[in-house]
Amino acid sequence: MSRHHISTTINGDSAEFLCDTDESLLDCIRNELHMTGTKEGCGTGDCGACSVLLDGRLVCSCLVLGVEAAGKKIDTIEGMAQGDKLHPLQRNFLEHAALQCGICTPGFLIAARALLEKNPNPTETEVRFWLAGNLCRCTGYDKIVRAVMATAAELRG
Amino acid sequence: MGEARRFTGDVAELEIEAGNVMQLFRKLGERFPELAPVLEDGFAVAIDGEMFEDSLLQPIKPDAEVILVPKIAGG
Amino acid sequence: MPDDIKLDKELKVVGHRNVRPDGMDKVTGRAKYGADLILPGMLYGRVLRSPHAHAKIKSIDTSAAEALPGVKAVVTGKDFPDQPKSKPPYGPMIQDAWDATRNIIAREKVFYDGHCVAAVAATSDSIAKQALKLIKVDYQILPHVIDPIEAMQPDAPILHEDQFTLGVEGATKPSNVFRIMKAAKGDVDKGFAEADLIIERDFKTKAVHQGYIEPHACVGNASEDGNVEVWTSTQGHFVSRNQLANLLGLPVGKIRLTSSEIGGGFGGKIPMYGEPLAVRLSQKANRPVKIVMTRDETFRSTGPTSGSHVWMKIGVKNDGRIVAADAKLYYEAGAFKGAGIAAAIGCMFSEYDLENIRIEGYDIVSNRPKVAAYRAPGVPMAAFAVEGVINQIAKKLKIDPVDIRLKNAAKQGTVNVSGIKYGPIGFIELLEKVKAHPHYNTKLEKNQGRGFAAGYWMHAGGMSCASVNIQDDGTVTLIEGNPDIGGSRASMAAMAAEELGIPFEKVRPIIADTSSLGFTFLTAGSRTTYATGMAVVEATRHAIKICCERAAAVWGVTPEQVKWEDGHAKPASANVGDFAPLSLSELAKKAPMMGGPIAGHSEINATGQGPAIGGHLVDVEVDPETGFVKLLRFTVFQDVGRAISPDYVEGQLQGGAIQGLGWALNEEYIYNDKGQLVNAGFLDYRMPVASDVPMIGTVLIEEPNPNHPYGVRGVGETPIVPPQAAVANAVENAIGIQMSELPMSPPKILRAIAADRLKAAE
Ligand code: FES
Ligand code: FES
Repeated sequence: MSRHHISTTINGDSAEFLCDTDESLLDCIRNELHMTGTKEGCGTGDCGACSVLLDGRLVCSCLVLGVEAAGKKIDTIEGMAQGDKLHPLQRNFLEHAALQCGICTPGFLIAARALLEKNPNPTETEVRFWLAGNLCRCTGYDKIVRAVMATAAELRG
Repeated sequence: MGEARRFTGDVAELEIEAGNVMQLFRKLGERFPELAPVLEDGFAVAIDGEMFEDSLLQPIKPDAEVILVPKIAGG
Repeated sequence: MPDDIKLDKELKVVGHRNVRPDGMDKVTGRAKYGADLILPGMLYGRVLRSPHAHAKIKSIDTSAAEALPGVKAVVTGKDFPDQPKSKPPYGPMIQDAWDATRNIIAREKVFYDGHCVAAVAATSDSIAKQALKLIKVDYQILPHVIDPIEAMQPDAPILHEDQFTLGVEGATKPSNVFRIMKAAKGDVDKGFAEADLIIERDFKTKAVHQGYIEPHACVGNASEDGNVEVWTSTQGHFVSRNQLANLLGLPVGKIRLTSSEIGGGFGGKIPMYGEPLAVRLSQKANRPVKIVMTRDETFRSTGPTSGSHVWMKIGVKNDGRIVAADAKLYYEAGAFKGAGIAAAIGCMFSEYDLENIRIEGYDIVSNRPKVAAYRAPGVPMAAFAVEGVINQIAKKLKIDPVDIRLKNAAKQGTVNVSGIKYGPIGFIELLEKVKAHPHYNTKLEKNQGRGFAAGYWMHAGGMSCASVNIQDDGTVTLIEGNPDIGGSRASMAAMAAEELGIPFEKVRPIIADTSSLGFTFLTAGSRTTYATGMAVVEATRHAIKICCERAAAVWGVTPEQVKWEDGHAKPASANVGDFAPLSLSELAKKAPMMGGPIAGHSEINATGQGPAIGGHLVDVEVDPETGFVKLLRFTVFQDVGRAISPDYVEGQLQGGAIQGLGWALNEEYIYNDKGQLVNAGFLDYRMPVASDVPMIGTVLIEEPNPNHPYGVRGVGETPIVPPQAAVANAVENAIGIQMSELPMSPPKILRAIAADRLKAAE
């Protein structure tokens, strides 16, 4: 089985990888590009740990094929901070202790950023429903929701 | 002695002279050979109500009340 | 050490909200978890699992798989040395290597759907997957049994032909009941004879999974000289190293385990699964081998907690005072003995001051994965029954549910069923805080209900080591051996910084691999901040002692004339002389010329842990048309001894509460008639998501444990004990029916409402 040569853009840099036809984008990012910040919790689209932006749209990278990334723009957790400056969501997750084990954190950060870009002033209910595709087993979501709300308020100024 | 009674022919209480947990276990083991192989790995002791696990050298005061408590692991 | 408890002194770091030292790596994707290690030449391992719940393995043919290009090694049970079967008498803790090796890879029989029968290592994941399809296993399917009560019946299929029930005299027939454990206090029959009201009920709970988001993952790397390196996501790499040595027949000193960052465990990452397979494959292939489980495998083959049947009978006087409590626990152990009955017995009534108690616990094997710990292992199922019956009693006697618990609350001096006499514990204070809390006094609307339940966990001590290295600029490296699941590094650094009198940021905590530090027991049982925290404090004090000796030498006084305060050595009193204080960095800088580096270390076996009691207050709304239970309010109260990192203590309470909510309302293992798990994924095994829950209030009661230098008790286990019962009691308050089966899914609630209406109509 010959592999596909894919050219894509990750976090603003051009990147290339080889992949099998049935290989998920998640596996390509992790195993081919060795960017392991994006996590696998289920591989079936149910946990959100693998969340990335594909051309600005929030997707579960385990449900996208690597070949679909050709010519597209991918944003992952590794591109969220600007140099040594954390994204306000990252800083607020730390300050609000919104992580315990931290395995869900990259997915939540990517998903929350997508939310705030769409809706800068979400209600608690809107935050909770937007993040309902991301599972966290450690925190009970309380501090995550608080960190997202605090970031939204901060960004609104 | 609760769980330990399985090994003692149902003896539940007895007086033993021992200066520390190791001596206590040795004497209990002599008295109840069935109990001997499981004492160190299987049981903690409550000395006058305070728990000691894996503490063979823990001193026991005269007249202290010692209870054998099954060891338990957590999550 | 505990004699100079620092509780009155103003603390500068401990108890403050410090940003965790490992946080930056975790919000930037830099942190390396189990699946994140990539080594040159690394192979991908995959596991072939049994589709049958119970079957004899007649033969395994791996030749076609081995012939597939890219496949570098295949292993089956034969590649592992067999282990001796432990023999009775058994201690309460069961460590049976015969069981352990068979749970990792089947030998004569498979005992559950998902049981590992073979593993392969190949140059790519897709080749490894293809290779699995080429392995031919000839099974002889046997009848299976899953429910513990069915497994006890005389005609039930027997899992282990040589298992005879312990605790039954002259048992001649093999049985799925491994043993019967008993505990008693006082005279239960006399107690019941004096009771004004007796309530007796049966309760049932289903097996549930810990549900950590990171599946098990490891890399094994064996070299030709017999050394073995393992990278793994585990709750205890030292314990795993010792077991691995035993299972593979290797010397302990040749094996080095490094614990990766760990993406949740809750008890489920205590046992090993992939590690021995990865090492054995690596030994055969002479290359590193990575094994990462899928979610399906995580559900089907790793340890959930026990499903249970509990019979409960409690007698009270009319004033609510409990005079007798009698219980029988029937717990599934899964394929091999070892359900959490000892912990359940030790904890289930232990937040109460009761005179007469009798408990009998049955440890029963059945055809499902061997159970693993899940936060306070074994206790929630028993608490669901205890707290449910107490709720019924309060209702019958028209006593407030908190008042009835106040009437029976354990206090200092209470002796529990195990014979443990309590030091100071904060249960009464906790109950009073519940009554005074605004939540308790919020008005409820139609179809809404409020429930309360309490829970107890006794905690663990055990072996821990720590080293403190003072670097020559006065910064500090703190080395400890407990994988950090929920922010424990922050607490360790806080205690070291507090002792040294330096800012939190100057301490960098590191988790050592198994070759770099002495044996440290599991991150489990809520022992880490207690036991390893003690070692950290002791190691830090050791380093401080050296600092004081150095200052004494500089000043020409004795070490006793020097004290350590605010990060400086100072003369202990004015009589010592007028010397300018020496800071940690000054002393560190001079260290090379004054006898060498400054470092402290500690190797302890901690004991004296104190129990923690929690209480959960829950409001729900039940839709009588659909049976759906909506969570409205949730407040968790807990005696935490002392919160070193309050943020992470609150997080433990909130997380435990929501896990308990899932256990109460949704989560269960569902099997088909072949004994196959049919909901092995997050879509069908539905855990609570953000939109299911409100904010979770927390109230920390701080009744310090006198045996710890900062009063720590431990926090993580207790919060899983009360929520199931608290939710059930809230549902009862809303619909008037005490649900006795978990999960309380909508169809069950609808059925209960319909049956109740029918009864009322008759
Ligand atoms: S790994 Fe993609 S949603 Fe879980
Ligand atoms: S912090 Fe562990 S899963 Fe969210």
